[in-house]
Amino acid sequence: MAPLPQAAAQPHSVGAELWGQLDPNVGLIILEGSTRKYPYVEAEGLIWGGAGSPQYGLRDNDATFEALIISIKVRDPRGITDTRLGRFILGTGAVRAMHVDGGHITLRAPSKTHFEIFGGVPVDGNIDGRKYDWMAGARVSQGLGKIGVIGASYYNRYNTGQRSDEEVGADFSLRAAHWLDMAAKFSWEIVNPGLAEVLGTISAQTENHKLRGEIFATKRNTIRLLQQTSLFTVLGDPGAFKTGGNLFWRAAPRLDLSVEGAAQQAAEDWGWTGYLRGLLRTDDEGNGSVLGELRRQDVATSQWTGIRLAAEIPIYEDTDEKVGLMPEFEIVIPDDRRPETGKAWPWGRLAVQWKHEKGWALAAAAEAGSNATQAIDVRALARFSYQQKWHGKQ
Amino acid sequence: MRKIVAVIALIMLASSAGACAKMLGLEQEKESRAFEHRAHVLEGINCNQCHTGIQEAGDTGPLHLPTTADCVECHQDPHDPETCSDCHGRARNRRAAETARKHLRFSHATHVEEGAGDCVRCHVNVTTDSDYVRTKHPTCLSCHTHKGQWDTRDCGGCHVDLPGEMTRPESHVVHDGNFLREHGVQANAQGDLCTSCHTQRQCAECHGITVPTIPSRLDFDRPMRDTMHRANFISMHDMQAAADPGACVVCHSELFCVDCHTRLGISGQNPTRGNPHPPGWSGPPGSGNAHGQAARLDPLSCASCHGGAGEILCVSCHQVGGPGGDPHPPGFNSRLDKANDLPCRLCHVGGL
Repeated sequence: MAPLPQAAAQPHSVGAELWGQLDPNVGLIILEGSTRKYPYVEAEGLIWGGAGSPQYGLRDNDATFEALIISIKVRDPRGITDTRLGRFILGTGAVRAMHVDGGHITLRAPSKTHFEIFGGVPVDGNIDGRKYDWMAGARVSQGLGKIGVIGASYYNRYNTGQRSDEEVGADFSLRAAHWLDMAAKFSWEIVNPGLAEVLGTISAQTENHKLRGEIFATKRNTIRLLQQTSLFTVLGDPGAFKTGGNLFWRAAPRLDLSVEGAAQQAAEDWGWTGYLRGLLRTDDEGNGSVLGELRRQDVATSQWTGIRLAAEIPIYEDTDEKVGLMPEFEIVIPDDRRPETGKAWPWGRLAVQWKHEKGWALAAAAEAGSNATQAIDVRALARFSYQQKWHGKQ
Repeated sequence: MRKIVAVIALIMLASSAGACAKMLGLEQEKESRAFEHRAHVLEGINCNQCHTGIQEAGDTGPLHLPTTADCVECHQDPHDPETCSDCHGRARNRRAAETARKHLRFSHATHVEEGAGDCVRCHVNVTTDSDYVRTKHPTCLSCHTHKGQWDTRDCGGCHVDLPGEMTRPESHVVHDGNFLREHGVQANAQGDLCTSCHTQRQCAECHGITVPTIPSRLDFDRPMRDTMHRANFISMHDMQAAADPGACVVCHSELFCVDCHTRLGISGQNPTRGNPHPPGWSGPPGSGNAHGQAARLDPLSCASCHGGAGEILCVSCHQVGGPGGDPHPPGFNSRLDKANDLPCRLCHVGGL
């Protein structure tokens, strides 16, 4: 028997990735690493550089270098405090997921009451008009035994030295029974008083997880999601509301079916959106699978029907390496079909992937598509990566 | 003749039904089935007889799965000369055991002593013919020590590398359903639980402002991954924004659009890429001026290009006494200081 990797030791990893695209030409190099020393510290970082056609995260034709994540989390051994510092994604309570350079501290009391304070400078690239932008806030939450947590939060944000957001919020996540889950969050804008956002979801499932249903509702007030330093916040409340439900059914051990339907409001228009989806695993391990999806949207000016087919096909596998094919195809048929925009927008991609047990991976793909603004768009993609993971001293 | 056709049709139907049943996983492959733990338990065979040495096993070293040699000690006349584990017991369960060995800080020696050799106390399913005999999470958490660790999200005491383990929890956190919609509200309520398994990179791949490209393009060889922006999203993004005007700004600042459009040269000033405004969009008072109604219905669309410094364009007309008329809607209310705060001070110079 081959020796198994040693457990009970701290993992460390480093990785590098070269990513390239032809037409438009883009090249990226991505470097990442992570380490941890239980129970005191965890650190991770991901930086990248790139050059080529100005799109995606690339700012201009010259080389761009950026840090996506540089984060260190320090923890006291008894779990009373967690402190995260650096560049990371902050999302807690009423604060919508925000990329910040800052800190987030959690204090845990024995009564299962948690106190959080956070603050920093929102990461917003090099866009003009976001200078002297900073945010800070706090949250207090109470654990409800094993079944969930309820919380209240506050945060404010300044932009160019001006108050641009001030919100209070409430949230909860509750597993009322082993088959019943519910969660919601609510935020209220103080600067321009009114509801900013409400999200709620209730789901139930059978014991064997073969059937699961969910109902949900989302209400967003777009002018209060904008920073309140924007003139457009005075233009009234167009509203964006969506409510519906979905059903997941494991129809057979290898076959999952799901269906979703929702009524949706966009400004003064009401419409609906929905999809039917089927996923068939081609083996018990789920190494290969085939996906089919039919989607329809009929809301405001977004009226279209789409079909998507995708597959992961293992074509070679041994103990050290495996090779797979990944074809994808989509077609969107807009209701408003005009000669100048095309009657349908097809898109397809064929990718091939090779992976080695020692951390090497190579993938390449060719894709072609057509949409309202481009009659034909053909691209080639490639990625070469390596990841090394090892365990430190026990 | 009809009978022959009927028989052939029945045979074909049965064979295709069988093929379908295999394809859907309804009929298990004969060469792979759950190990017959229950039969061994009913025979009164002690677990240690097959899993030799498990009672002394620490948190490193080999797995204690029986070999063919162990089996033939009792089954002296095996019905098949092949390796027993090729048919008895599923490969995926052995791989799960390997994953557990690799990622769990767990010692059977400690637990066997505490459980007085009672394996069934944790491995409940060995008394059934279940495919799954590993210990479930609630069983672990039923021990007093682990309750405190759950409260402080201290998973590292057992799970050496949860981000690397990437095993979907079976019982204590629901990951089914529509992940894209549900994960945010769950993460905002108990984000510390999420981060015990998920790295910041996983969050930032979608929510990071400084991403090099969207996940479906960076990981182009993972078509089953459910992401907000699929690879062909760019051809649909304007329609999606119109259908759900609040959704974009939850992650993207309103300047995100103009930043990209400017770099790509797509704007009203570029005649080759088309003017987004139809004829009659804006003009002197009394003309069509469709932009006013459009802005009130979907202010985010306007803000996506004219936000920030571009708002001066609006204010030049829309000010009290200006040709665009009073921009404040009926019942307008704001706590901003009109003398000092944006956007009020654009017009209310000196607080007037």
